[in-house]
Amino acid sequence: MLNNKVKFEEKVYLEVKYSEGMVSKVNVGEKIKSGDLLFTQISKEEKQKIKYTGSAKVKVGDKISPGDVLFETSGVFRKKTVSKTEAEVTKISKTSIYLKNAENSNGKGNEREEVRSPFDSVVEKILKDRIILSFSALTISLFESKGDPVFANLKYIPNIKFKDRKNPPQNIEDSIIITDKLTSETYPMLSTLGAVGVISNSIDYYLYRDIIILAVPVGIVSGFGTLKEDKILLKYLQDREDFIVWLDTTYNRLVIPEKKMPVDLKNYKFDLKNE
Amino acid sequence: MQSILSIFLTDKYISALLIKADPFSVVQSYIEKIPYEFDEFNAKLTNKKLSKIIENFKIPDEYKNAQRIISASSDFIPLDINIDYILEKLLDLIPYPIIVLDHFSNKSFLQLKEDEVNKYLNSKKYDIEVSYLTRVFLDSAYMKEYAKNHTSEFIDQNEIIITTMPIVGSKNKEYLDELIKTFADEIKIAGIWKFALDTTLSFVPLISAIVHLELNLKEFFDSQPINSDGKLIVAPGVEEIQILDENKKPTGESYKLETESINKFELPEDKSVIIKWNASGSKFEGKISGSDIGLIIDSRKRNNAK
Repeated sequence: MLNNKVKFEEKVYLEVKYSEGMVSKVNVGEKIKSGDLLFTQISKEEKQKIKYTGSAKVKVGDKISPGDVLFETSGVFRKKTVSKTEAEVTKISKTSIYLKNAENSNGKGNEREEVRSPFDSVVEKILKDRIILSFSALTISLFESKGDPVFANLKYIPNIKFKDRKNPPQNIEDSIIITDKLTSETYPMLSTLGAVGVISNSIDYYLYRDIIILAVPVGIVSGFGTLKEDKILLKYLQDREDFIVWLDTTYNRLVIPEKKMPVDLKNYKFDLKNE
Repeated sequence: MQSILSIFLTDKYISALLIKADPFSVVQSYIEKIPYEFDEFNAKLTNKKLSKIIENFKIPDEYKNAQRIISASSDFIPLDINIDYILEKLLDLIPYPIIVLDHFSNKSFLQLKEDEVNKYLNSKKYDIEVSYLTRVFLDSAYMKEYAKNHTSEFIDQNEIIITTMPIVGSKNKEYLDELIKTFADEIKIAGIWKFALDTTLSFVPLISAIVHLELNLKEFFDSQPINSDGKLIVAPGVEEIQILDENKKPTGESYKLETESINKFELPEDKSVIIKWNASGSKFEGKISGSDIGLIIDSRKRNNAK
């Protein structure tokens, strides 16, 4: 019997890294909602102050494209300076041209790269390259896991439903699938159908060992072999269908945001059951 | 009075010996299953947890200040505990073959059948006792490798120490019997070997203490005969053994051996007999003492047996 298989934690920490060129949109101590913006790409518009000499060839309000001439030097050797980005001229002073809506530093035009919070949480820390969020959650300690950590909505689909190859389960794209057992047929099918994570109650050791982790991250709840699902845990997970959860392969756990310890799991103890 | 509490850590058990330094003597021995669960955030064993376990050892007051020394296998070193002696290095110093069977830290499990591998790995993760049969299989697999890789040592050494975790169900004799038979399967030379079975993992802390006190290991082991828990006689091609009296004259008593087989005879540890055999390629006459599990006589021919 294991006491610590399932734990409710007031503060589960989530570290979200951000790349150079992004700026935080939240403050320490701020309570944020799932989907709220955490960082966004710094647009060059704020820095796009281009010093010029000679005469400006654009006027305020002009929408310019890459290649458009911004200014031209006068004299014997004239030189044209062209825009490298799409932008709008907002101001022209004696020495500088100001642009906005410029191309992002990632080169993706006006599409902004954004990072949003997967969960309702509190901003604990903002560091140079990452932000630490905290939220209360239930953590289920996994037997094993491999692959990259993933956040997605949860769906329970028993293995038997994958046997009808002509009518495979639908709407599993971008979801983390929980199932009773993974077989050599189920895993590739889930991968093909677009699941982003798979959590199985049990799996044969050799199949687990041979799974290519690059395809879809895998978590195992109970253990190797063919093991019975724990009814209490199963019911809890089925009740959380479509919740956004975190398959945290770094620390071998499934994290499900909860405000408090679910009543059904209060005195829960895990016991391994062979089928 | 110098005293030492010599501790050996495995991923399941903590064994310890309380030792008086001069004259060297073992005051008490301890073995405890680690009572803590492991999860991804809490180590199963830490310095603090180890101290709590040791608090439960009933150490006599006069030894409360015994110096602690800690040994561990190189694949089980808790992060915040200072290890004084690494098992593998200690074993290199010992003039006797010592086989440490901690089946949770060797790779023999890959030789188990598919479903047994699953059960074994679940047991390992959840601290569930593996079945007796699985354990015998795993430890025999290790013994097989050991016997194969250390054959040259067994020409000169006829005492073998097996140190392992407690065996559930009072099956020590059956367990040793299986390991000796596995050893016999692999050993290619004729000879007589005595086996001592320690199921409290106490040989490792013993060796650590001897090394720590800079005592002469060979002198120590020569002066302390090991228990005779099992005895193996490899007598290739021998069909009959005769019993002789004190004057080495035949008593008329003789025993037919099953050819090409492993034969077993009852002979307690405190009894001995003078035996003789004469077969093509193998002759012997001498006194043989018994063992806790009697005598195991292997009459199977070896291709290169002398």
